[in-house]
Amino acid sequence: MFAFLQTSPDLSVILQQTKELIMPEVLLLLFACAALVIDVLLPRQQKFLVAWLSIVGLLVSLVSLIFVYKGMGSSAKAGFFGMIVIDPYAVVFKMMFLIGALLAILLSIKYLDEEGEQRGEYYALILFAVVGMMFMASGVDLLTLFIALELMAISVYILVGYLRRDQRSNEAAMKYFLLGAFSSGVLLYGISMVYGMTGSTNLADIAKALPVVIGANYQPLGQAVDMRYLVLMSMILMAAGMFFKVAAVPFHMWAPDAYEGAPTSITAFMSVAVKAASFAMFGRIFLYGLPDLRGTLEGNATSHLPALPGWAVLLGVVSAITIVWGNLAALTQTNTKRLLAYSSISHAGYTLLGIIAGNQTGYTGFVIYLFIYTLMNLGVFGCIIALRRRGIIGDRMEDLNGLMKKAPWLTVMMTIFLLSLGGIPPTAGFIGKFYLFAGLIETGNPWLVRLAILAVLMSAVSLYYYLRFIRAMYIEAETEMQPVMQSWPLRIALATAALFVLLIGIFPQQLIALTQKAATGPKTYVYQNDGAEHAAPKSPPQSMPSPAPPPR
Amino acid sequence: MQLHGWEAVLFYVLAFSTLIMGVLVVSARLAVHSALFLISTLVNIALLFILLRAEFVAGVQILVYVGGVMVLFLFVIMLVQTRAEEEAKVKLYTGQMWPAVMLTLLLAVSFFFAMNSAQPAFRPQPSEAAAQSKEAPAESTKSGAGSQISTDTQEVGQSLYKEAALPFEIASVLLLVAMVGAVLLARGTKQEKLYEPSE
Repeated sequence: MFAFLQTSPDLSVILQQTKELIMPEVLLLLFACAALVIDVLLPRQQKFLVAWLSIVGLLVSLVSLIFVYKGMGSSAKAGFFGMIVIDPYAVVFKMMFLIGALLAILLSIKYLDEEGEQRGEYYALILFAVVGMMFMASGVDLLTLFIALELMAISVYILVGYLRRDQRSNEAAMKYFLLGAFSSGVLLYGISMVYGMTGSTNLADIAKALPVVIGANYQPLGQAVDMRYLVLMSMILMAAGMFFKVAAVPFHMWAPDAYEGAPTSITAFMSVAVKAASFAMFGRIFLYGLPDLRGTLEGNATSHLPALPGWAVLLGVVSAITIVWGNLAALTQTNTKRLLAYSSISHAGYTLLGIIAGNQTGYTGFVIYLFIYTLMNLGVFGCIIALRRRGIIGDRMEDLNGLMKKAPWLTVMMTIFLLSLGGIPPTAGFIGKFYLFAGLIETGNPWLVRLAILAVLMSAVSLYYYLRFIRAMYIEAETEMQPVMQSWPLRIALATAALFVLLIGIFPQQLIALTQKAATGPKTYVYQNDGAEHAAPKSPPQSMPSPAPPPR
Repeated sequence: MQLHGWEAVLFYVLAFSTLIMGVLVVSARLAVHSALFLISTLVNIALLFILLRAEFVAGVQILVYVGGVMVLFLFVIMLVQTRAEEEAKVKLYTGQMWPAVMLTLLLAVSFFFAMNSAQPAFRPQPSEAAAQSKEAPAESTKSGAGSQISTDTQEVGQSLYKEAALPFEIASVLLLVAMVGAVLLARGTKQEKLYEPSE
């Protein structure tokens, strides 16, 4: 087998030219395997050393990612027969996952001691999940994307059930696993249909083939065929699979249970990195693979073919329901982890708005919001982890009572994160929401403007439940007297996250410049005022007929 | 590729028996029956692959699923107590059955609708059918009634180590993770203490 590998000229050429493109992933993988091995050699009291090894691995991977980014130059680089591509979009998302995992591991070290489950596999699995996520961000082939998604998902299923002696953790893992496997099946069904119609799993080839397939006069065998329903159906199946992964309503049922039952540090990791990775894949498939299904699919009056709505409409409806339902359901929760699960559902709705807007501002908002969300949501969960102490899980709203007296710094940081989640200036959350909503309003489409208004209103509703936290912390009297002990890694993680949330809120230029580069890849669209949507590629539209003036 | 004559008959027989067996898998009360129906479903699907001239996939389907995975299933059924379900104490269907049926029907109808409008793409054209029939005798003489070895396996192997080398390697990591996870979740505390390095 090895002889075959070495004699095959193609593979050696490929490895020489493109092996540096996957260097961050390879290094991280090596560290993950090393963590597995070293864990076995360490006695129980020193298992926490594996955490530091993993952190070193994440940092090494981050440095190598920066080298890849610097060596990339101005153009994107594809590798491994078009299986992956390294462009600013991939690099920014990978950075997000690495930072998210780094903070999540810092939050976990003390927490696992409290739970009495300090073991090295935990950290190794987080690293494996991050490897999967990184391939999800850079994969441009449905095959790579799907296998990377499964790598991430399986690692996270195991991590959710990590507290084996905890009934809730077991239940959460089971629910998450069953629904996750089902959604992967749905996604795969959509993928197989797209492959059947376009003859390729490569997103670039699919994007090239789709306009022909959905054209009103598509005649594969000399006879006009209407493939649009079949294409739309496979698009809907793929979207449904991805909605499951990002926990958008009506596919959100698993999220509150899984978030509540999982170890809090894994809840934090799931709610940011896993969600960001799913969104990265969502963006890749829909913005790079199916851009021509966004707008209205042109009908044909002569053969009585009606015009069909594209995925912008589907995503718009889903994001509207997600924002409304996520925020309303969060209002009545008393368990903080459950409340934050619903809040995270509503944030998935906000993030979808960036894809729907379809212009540069929207895409920038999509990336920047996920980046900021990673920091602020990890921060909030970090504060909840800090409340975990002997005999107290710390996930009830009452556990926050009178926190101001017990741990003033923790309270201040929690306040920053909560205000940022609510989108109040001068925190970073405001910048993210500003870009998302501005992207929608820029389109000038009345329906999208209404969607933006709805999102702003619901964002105001969300302040109510974020302020409930603040009321409990500042106003309510203490209900129990146990002191809150914070470990120094947790303090460092929280302080860093809070600092960045404030810094990005006040000086956002650096991050905006970075995310704007990432957002230049996908095709932008121009919506017309009458609701009809027309594609406006940035390249001179030679093949595209100029849109007919709308009937007045 | 178009199916003609007996091939079409075989396809419909296999397709419908796959569906029926699939329904029986979820509706059988005894776990062993479910497993056996699942074997039948998988064999049917393998036959469908042969019909599509994908001999390698058919072989893998039989070897891996029917041979490996199903044996594991039967082992698990043997080890795990499933008597409660078998004695009709447990309700087989929850209240979600009717919504599920409705959803399935909706999906089926929309599939039918979508396929219907795309039908001509799958229908043989007169010119192409003629070309196929012209090609067919040449092909049959070349293949000599199945004596020639199919290059299917070779092609799969080549693309696995060339175009799909990267996903293939990611899949190996995936299997490692699944193994670590299985050990992690199944290992008891007693075993953990046993293998702990002594301080």
